[in-house]
Order: sequence, then C-alpha cells, then structure tokens
Amino acid sequence: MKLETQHIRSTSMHVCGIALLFLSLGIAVSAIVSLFDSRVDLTPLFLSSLIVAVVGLILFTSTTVGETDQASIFSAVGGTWLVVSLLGALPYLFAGTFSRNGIGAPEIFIDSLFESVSGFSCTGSTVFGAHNLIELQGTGMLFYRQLTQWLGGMGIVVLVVSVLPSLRASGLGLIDAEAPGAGVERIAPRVVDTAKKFWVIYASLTILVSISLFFAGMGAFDSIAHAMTTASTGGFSTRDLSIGHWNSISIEIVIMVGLILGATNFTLHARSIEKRRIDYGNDSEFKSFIALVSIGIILVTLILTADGASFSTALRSASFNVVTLGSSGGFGNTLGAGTPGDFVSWSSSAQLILLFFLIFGGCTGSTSGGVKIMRLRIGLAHTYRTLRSIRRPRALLQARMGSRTIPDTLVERVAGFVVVYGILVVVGTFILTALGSDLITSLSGVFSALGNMGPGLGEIGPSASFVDGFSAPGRLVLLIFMMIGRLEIFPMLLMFVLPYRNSMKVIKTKK
Amino acid sequence: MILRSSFKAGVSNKSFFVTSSTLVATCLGIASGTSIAGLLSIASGLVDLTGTGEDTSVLLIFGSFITLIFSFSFRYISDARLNKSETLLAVTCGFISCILTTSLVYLIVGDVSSFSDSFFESTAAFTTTSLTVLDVNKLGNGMLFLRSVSQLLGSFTAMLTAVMFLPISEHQHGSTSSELRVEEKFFQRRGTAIKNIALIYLISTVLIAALLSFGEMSIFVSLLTSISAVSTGGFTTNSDYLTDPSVQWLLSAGMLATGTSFLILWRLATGKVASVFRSTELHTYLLLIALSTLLLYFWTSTASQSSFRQSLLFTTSSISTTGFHFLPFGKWSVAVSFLLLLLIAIGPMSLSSGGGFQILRLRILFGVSIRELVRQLHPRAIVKIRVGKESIDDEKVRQVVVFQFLFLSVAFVSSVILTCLGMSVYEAFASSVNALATAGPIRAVDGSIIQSDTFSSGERLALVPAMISGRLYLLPVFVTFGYLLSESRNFLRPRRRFLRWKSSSK
Repeated sequence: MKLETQHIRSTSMHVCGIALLFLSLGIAVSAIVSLFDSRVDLTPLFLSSLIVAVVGLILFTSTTVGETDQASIFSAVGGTWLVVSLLGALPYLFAGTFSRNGIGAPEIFIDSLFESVSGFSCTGSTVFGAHNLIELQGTGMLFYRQLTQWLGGMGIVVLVVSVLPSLRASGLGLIDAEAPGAGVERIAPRVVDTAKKFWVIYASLTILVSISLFFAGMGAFDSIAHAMTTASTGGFSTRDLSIGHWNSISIEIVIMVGLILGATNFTLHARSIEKRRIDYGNDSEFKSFIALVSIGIILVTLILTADGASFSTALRSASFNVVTLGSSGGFGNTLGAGTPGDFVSWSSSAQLILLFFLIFGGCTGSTSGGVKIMRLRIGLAHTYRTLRSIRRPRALLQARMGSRTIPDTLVERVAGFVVVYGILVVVGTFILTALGSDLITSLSGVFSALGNMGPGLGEIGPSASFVDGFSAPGRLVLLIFMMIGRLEIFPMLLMFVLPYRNSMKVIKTKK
Repeated sequence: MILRSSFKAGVSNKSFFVTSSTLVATCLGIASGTSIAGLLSIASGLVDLTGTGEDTSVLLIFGSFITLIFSFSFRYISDARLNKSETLLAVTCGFISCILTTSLVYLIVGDVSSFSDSFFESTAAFTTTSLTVLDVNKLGNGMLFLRSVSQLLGSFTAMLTAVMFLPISEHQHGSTSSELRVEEKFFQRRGTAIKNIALIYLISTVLIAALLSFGEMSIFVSLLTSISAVSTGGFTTNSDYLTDPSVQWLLSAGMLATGTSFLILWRLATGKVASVFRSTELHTYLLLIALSTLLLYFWTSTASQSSFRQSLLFTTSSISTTGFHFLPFGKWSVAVSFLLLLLIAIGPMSLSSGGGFQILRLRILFGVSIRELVRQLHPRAIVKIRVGKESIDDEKVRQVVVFQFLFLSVAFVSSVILTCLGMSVYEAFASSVNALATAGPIRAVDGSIIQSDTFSSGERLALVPAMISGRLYLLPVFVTFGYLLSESRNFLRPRRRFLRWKSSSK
C-alpha cells in the first residue's frame, strides 16, 4: 500500500527549514572545534545543533515550495532571518554565556539574542565587555560567534537558493530581497548557479584573507576566525581589543584589503574572474567608494595630525577606522580607551567624518551595510537634475550617472528607501533617548544598527560594550533595527503581509 | 519695485549701462536690498526719537545716504524681463545685500565692535533665527526697532519667495480640489498675494501687540514682542516679561497662529471656517503640537498647570521656529532636548512664516515611503502620492525629495565645519539644525541656552550660510548658485564667447 504524505505548501517554512539545517551544521562544526579546546561548550553546542536540526527537518520535510509572489518572498526571507536569529541564540543561552550577577532571565535572553542577531546581520556590535570578556569564552563558542557572521555575510537565503533548484526563477527574487542594493544581476544563466557562484567567490575570499592573516602573524584559529568576519564585513573578533590585540601594521593592511574586497559588488569580482583581468575601474560606484574612502582618510589624517598625533600614527589610525567603518566592518585597532585607534576620543570633526561612513557604508551587491554609495550618487544626480529643471522648466532632463541615464523608477525607489530609512532613524533615536541613552550614542547607535556597522560614537566606541551605552530595552530596540537594516528594510517590514492576508482569507471563509 | 518705478518715472532718456540679464538681476537685487535697508535705517532713526535719541542722527544720515545712492542707481539698470533663475538671483542678492547694509548700521552706531559680530546679528535678524550677540539692555529704541523689523522683513521676503517661486503650498503642489479654488483669489495675481500677506502680517502684529499691552508691557515692548512672534524671529527686549503666565498663554496662541498657513488664516478671516478644518496639513500640525505638549508634560512634569503651560509654550516656540529664550523647567532629559530639536527641524505648516522642513513636505515624504512599500509588493503598480484627498504632481514630489537631500546635506556640512572649529558633535548638530530651520536658541542637552556670544567668529560665520539658505527655503539659494556657476563657466569658455560674438555681429 502506498502511503501518501500531505505536504504543506509554504515557501517561507520550506526555505526556513533548509536554513535551519545549515545553521545546525554550523553549530555542529563549532561543537567539533570545541573538541580541540577544553570542551567547555561541547554540550550546549551539541544540544543546540540537535534542536535546530530537528526543527529544521520537521519544517523541511513537511512542506514544499508554495506561492512565490512578492509577499511570499518577503515572508520567506524575513521569517527565515527571524527564526535563524532566534534559534541562533540557543548556544549562548545553553552555555550561559551572558549570565552574570544582578541580571534576570529576560536580560540574559535579550543579550543572547542581541549577540545572535548582531552576528547573523554582520553588525558586529557586542554585549561582551569588561564585565564579560570575550577571551574567557571557549574556542567552540568563539568559532560559532564568528561563523554566524560568515553565514549572514553572503546570506543564508542565498545559500538556501544555491541548493534548492525547485525555487527556479523566484530564487532571484529571494536573493534580491536579501542582498543589499537596488537589484541583483544574474552572473549565470540559472539562478541556482548564480547563488553558487556568489558563495564560491565569498568562500575563496575568506580563504585568501585567512592565508594572508596567517602569514601576517596571526595564529591559525584567529586567522580563520577573522577571515570569516572580514569577508563578511562583520567585525566580530576573538579578542577583547579586536585587531588592536596584535598591534601589527601588516595584519591591519590585510584586514583593510579584505574589507574593501568584501564591500565591493560581488558581481564585479565574478566579472573579473570570468574575464581573467581586473575589471573594477569601469564601475562608477566602486570608483566613488574608493575616492570617498581616500578623501576620508586624508581628512581624518590631517585632523589627527593637527590635534598633535604623529603623521604615521594619524595615517594608520585614520586608514584603519575609515576603511573599517566605510566597509561596515567595525573592527577596532585601539590598544584601549583613549589610545590612537579609539575614535571616540578623537576631535568632533573626525568623528563626524566617520559618521558619514557609518551612514553610507560600501557598494551595492556586497556584504557591507549602510545606505550604500550608489544611492548617494543617485541622490546627487537627482538633485542636480531637479535644480536644473527649476531653472529650465521646459527642458526634458534626465538624471545621469556618468554616461548612464538613471531611470525615474530607480530614483523613486532610492527616494522611498532613503525616506523610510530616515523615518526609522528618527523613530529609533527618539525611543532610545526616551529610554535614557544620550543623544549622540542613540543616533549613532541607530545608524550603526540599521547600517550593520558595529561600533558608534559616544558611549559605544570601538572598545566599548553595548551594555554600557544602552539599557536592556534599548538593546532590544537595536536588535530589531539590525534585522531591519540587514534586509534593507522592506522584507522585514513587509514580512507580515502574507500571514495577514492568509488570516483574513480564513476569517472570510469562516464567515 | 515701488522705488524702481518712481525713479523710472522721472527718467525721460533711458540710457541703460547694465544690460546683461545676469548683471541686471544682480544689480537689481543689490540696489533693492540696500535701499530697503536704508529705508529701515531711516525709520529706525525716527523711532529712536521716542527714546534717548542718541542714535537718531547716525541712523538718519546713513539711511538717507544709502537709500538715495542706490535708488538712483536703478536708472542705470535695464528693465528687461527676468526669467525665473534671474529673479531668484535678484532675490538672493537683495537678501544678502540687505543683511550686509544693516550690519554696517550696527557697526556705525557702535553697538558691536567687530564686523563679524554685526554681520552675524544682522543675519540672525533677517533670517529670523533667534541667535544674538548683543546686550539688548544697552540698545536704544531705534536699534531695537531696527532689529525687530529686520525679522519682519526677512520673514516677509521668505514668504514672498515661497508664494511666488517655490512649490511649498497645498495650492502650488498641483492639487486640484475644489476646496482650494476658493484660495485662488489669494494667489490670483502677485500683487494681490503680496497685499494679502502684508495685510495678514499687519493685523496679526497689531492684534498680538494690543493684547500684550493689556498686561505690564509697554506699547513699544509689546509691539516688538509681537513682531518677533509674527515673524517667528524670537528676539526679545526684556526676558523678564516672558515669565508672566498671561504673556506665556498669549504667546503660545500667537505662535500657534503664526505657524499656521496663511491660507488657513485667510480662510478664517474671510469667514470660511468650515473649510479650515478640512485641511489635513492643519490636522497634522495640531496633532503634532498636542502630542508633543503631552510628551513634554509627562517627561518634565511636576503635575501642575504651569508645567502644562510651559510644555505648550516650548512646543509652539519650537515647531513655529520662533525660539523665544525661555528657561528650562521641570525634570529635563535628553529625550526632551531631542523632541524639541525634532520639532524645530519639522517646522510649522507650509505658507507660514516659520522655517524648517514644514509639515506638507513631511506628509509628502510619508507618501513617498508608503508608495515604496506598495511598490515593493506590487512592482508594476502606479501609485499616486496623496496628501489627504489631494493628489500630488510627480515633479513636485521630486522637488520635495531634493529639498530633503539638501536640508540634510547642509546640516551635515555645517556640522562638520563647526566641529572643525572646535564645537562638540551635539552642539554642532543642534546649532546647524537651528540655523537651517531659522529657529534658536541653541540648547544644551540639559536644556540650558548656549549663548551665541560664546561662539568664536569662525563658528558664527559658519552658521551664516545655513541661516540664509534655510530662510530662503534652500532651493532659491542653490538654483542661484547653480545659475552663477553655469554663467561663470560659460563666461570663461572663450570659444563659446567667440561664437556668440560672431553670431551677434552677423
């Protein structure tokens, strides 16, 4: 007798199931890593892996791919990120990583979730600090923490699409909803191949950075761990002083190059590999990104020199911090509070220049966060066109970027994105100041969370913990902003449209 | 224009020396601005006679001299019709020359020691930014009058610029509602619009002054305070009066009214009360005031009537961008400072005398965000942006988006310059927003007022471009700047000049 199993048609649950299986695999690898250490985290990691695997298997086996309209895509991407972030906090919870004297279970849960979301969204903000040192954690847990950023960097959904041919063309919609920027270019005829190529390039970049870091003087574990968070422009470190722990120029240079490559559109990498020549010079966004970073480095160096730092120290600090914030990496090269790399101790003008990079981040189609250079360029082009059209009301003018004409629909999309982004910044700052944080910390905290940057200004500098700058409810607000920012706002805001529609259908049917 | 026509009437043989349209616009602006400043100086000289009369002679001589010379210069300027860019150039030049000439008055009278101080004071007055470097107790009646009327002139100029050239009103946003056809009368002709706005200014000023003079204020002080409230300038002659509860209630009502669109006031004045409450912009404005007052009350409250009154006072002062120098009250927190800064940035209704972003633009931006959310779900949908029931033209939406971009850019660049000059990040940010929204006073996080006289000359000068561009609603300044840039680029292109000369010689 043939048994027929009835599958639920739900793209969200199906995608989420596979994503959880990948997460479970990641946690299992971390558990294996802990075997080489004191095995302190073996049980919590193994247990978490098991639970996540069971949930993932249930979701995967009981569902098939359903509708693939826009609402379903947003629901799938947003839902996957939400569930992965929630279950990703299990290892921290089981290991009691964030339990300390004087705080209750809700705060421990918020801190675990904060670290998990900060990892998957590649933000790099942390609740570790002087009260709970990173270096006291076991190797397995540290590896897992780094791995969350690596998985989140290219995107869990991109990974899912690369192994799920049944999604067909709608896979591109899923990638588009997850990847930063205004649209994803196919780099292969099939969507599955496009996703695979992205992951291959990403993995190659990680290996390259890892080898370079090893030769620059890092240990094997640290170089792998930092390579994962460099390629993903995440910024988590296995050391309390971040990159400042090594105080090495060569390591900083490798990290900077890795971050710039991570913050570059991956389509450019693919094209260069395909054509077997460096093909970055023709991309106007990349050129603008490099130009802006260079100008930022020069300005900050001049300011630091004027404030009394030696030229070499100023150049080193300026270069590292401008690149790390410009690429949304968020590493620090400070040797402690008040030392040259600690940018919150710099003069206000240098901090404001860093705030600019904190807002705009890197290129579209990369692993970096922020508003993106492309949108800044489109904004400038649109402003120029509009000012000219006020002068010449009858002229038919087009917004241009180099020799390319920017279609009005793209301008409108960018305008819509910037407006929603601005509204979120104002609302977030408003809530955080009402919860008691100071204005600059709140404002830069929201920018940092939405742009997935990591550190901010005020009390959340490169050597500070977010526990010092924000109360537990404040951290909860920020972790929501991190998730919204990672998916470039709309998937997270619109993920409840499909469940709402379905529930309305059910109500109508009942009536 | 009046001056110009009167002088033209006496000129029989028209021999124009200035004929290039760019130069005509520039010279016309300079001559008009300087002449108006001269007339203001003469009026202030006469008002000074009501006090000690120490400054009368200086003000009269300087004013007469300046007015005569620059009014006479009109005869050498061609009366060619100017296009939109050239008119905006003329307005910007006129505004700046008015500021410069008035700063000379401050310097000549001797109330300030340096040009940077006088320039800052004059700019603050004309841009209705409530920042001052003067000790008002040492000023004579003439100078107090000059300072207050400068605000009125600046506010009036900005309003005219908005009505004539910029799409900031419900009417000019291309809305087609029958409700607004009534207001077409308001904009029928430029002359009518100017008269109507002047009339509203006059009536509001007289009404508030009359009500204020019922209390302890003298008629002169009430008049100046009223001018400050109507023009959203915020200068005061004596801060002690501002602690009086009746004055506070009255000023709250006055600022609430001046933050309201002139169209609304016009409808009220013409008895169309029912149509007033159909304005969705007014609903948002009142809702914002109500919510902010309640938030301020709960955040700072000592649960008293005075605390509610002060909450309303701070809210109306901030949202109307008036900026009277009230001292902080109750338990002041960072959230209160941020709320007030936010209200300053938002600003009042469009077509009011206040600065800032203005509520209609904000509503259009909300429309843009909703459109994007809908388009994310339905990429091929054609979504029109609406404010209430009115559909907004796409071109106007683009201009509002550009306004937002420019607003943020100017605020950021000003902040960077101020921090380079030694300000802290918060102070620089607050100063830039206040200058751009033409509000003031600049408050520290604890609510205390940061006095402008503690700023260095560089810091003051750095705020001037933000104040001027903010008062003229940004776009005219940037269009003028672009126009001048383009003209100078054309001027520097020898080949193009040669070809133009060749074609004209043919």
